[in-house]
Amino acid sequence: MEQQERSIRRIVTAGMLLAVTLLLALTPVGFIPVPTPAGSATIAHIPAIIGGILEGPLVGLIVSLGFGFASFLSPLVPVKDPFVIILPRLLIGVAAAWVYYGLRRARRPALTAVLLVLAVAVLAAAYVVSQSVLWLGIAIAVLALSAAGFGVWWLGRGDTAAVGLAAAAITGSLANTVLVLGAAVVRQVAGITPEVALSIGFMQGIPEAVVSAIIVVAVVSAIRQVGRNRSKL
Amino acid sequence: MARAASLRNASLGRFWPGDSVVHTLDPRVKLCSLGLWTVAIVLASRWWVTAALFLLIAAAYRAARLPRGAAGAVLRPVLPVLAVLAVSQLLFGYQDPAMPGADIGVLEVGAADVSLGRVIGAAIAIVRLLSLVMLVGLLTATTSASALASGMERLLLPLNRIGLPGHELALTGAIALRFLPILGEELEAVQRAQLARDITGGPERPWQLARNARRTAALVVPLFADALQRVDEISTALLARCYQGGRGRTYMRELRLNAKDLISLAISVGLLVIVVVL
Repeated sequence: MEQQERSIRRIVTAGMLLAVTLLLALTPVGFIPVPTPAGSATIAHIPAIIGGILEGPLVGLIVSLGFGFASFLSPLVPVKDPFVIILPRLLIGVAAAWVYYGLRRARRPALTAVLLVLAVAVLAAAYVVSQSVLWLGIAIAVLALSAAGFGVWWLGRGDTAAVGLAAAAITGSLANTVLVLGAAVVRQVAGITPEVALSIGFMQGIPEAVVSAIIVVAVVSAIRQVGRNRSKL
Repeated sequence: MARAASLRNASLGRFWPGDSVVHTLDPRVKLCSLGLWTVAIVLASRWWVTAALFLLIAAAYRAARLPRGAAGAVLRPVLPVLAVLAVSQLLFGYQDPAMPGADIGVLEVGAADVSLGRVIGAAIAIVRLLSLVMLVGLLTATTSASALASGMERLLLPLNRIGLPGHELALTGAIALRFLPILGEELEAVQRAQLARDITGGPERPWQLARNARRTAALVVPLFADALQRVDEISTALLARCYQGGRGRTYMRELRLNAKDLISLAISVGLLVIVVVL
């Protein structure tokens, strides 16, 4: 019975989040104005991240597949190569789920260590970038350091659950940016050279990651709140 | 407010009941054909193949005998997107040197040098997108949600043989299709409510990243909360009705392929083959 209940819940959650994905991908609500040439960051990948966090990698995978199909059909996406549009996106929900389940039971020292490792990794990337474009490398380094400082401050407030959620959201969002652009470079999509991909990645990927972290933390803590209030009734 | 009102039409398009050839085709055939035609549109490399496919889709609309304005209702939400795409393709689009007219200048504005080849390229990109949108619109205009769901489920059944959850995937898809318009209405209600509180109004300011994220969160968080609350209700309802998965389930609507279905499927396959060969 318990087993059956879990499986029904998974199916229904995947279905509802799929509907939200379609809604966000096909209406202007899913696009936030940002100061980049593309003009907007998408949030349509957020249901996939939430699916992975709430119900595990399988639900994350199914919703990610739906997101891939929705962007394949969307008139806003001019590239129509399934190896670029659908295949890399499968990992959004899965990556978010792995990070979340990895960090869920982690305590403050472990989370601080993860933050430090991430900060060092980004600093190394910034060093590589600064070899070719100096100001971009410095900007990334400053951003990474301030993000890590913010994370440590957040941990100091004792909110470990929110840090895990934010880390999962950022991972899922970056998986989307990095893998799709990487696939575009590998498949040699017209107009996407490695340099173009790099600049799109930073200008589009970082705002999207920040926005997804804010929204995922807000949504999942709101949901958990609803659950708690209900059980009191 | 205009933004809120446009949402209602933005869901995948409405169903217009009818008894035309297109309406009465088996939903499985329609879904397969959608896939085949989509691949054909994406693969078509010559401009006249793209144009011919567009005309074929227009002919299918004719055959579906949809009411006046149905095609317009499908296309209206994507028109602004098409305009943006046209401008960006004209100015920055990839230019195929082999395209006829690549060396004929049409107009020069500042640094932008628009050649005839690029105009043709932009026109092809637009017709291709129009075809894809109209194709999906035709499917949803002529197929009811329940027919789509049963067609999808039957197409996914072979997955059960190899151990994948075909039935469960179909149920997931059916739930998504069923709740898309309901969540659309919910989103509209949230939008009006937040507008009334003056949370989402005002001009767009791309530089204020945190403000934009907060504004979007004000719309999206209630939407997610509503969707996930419905998950509770639907799961309980399915459990209360002793839902046991797909094993040994019978169907209210049995699907049988007839000659008409087979002929149209053959036409779709033939079309793809022709496009691939060309």
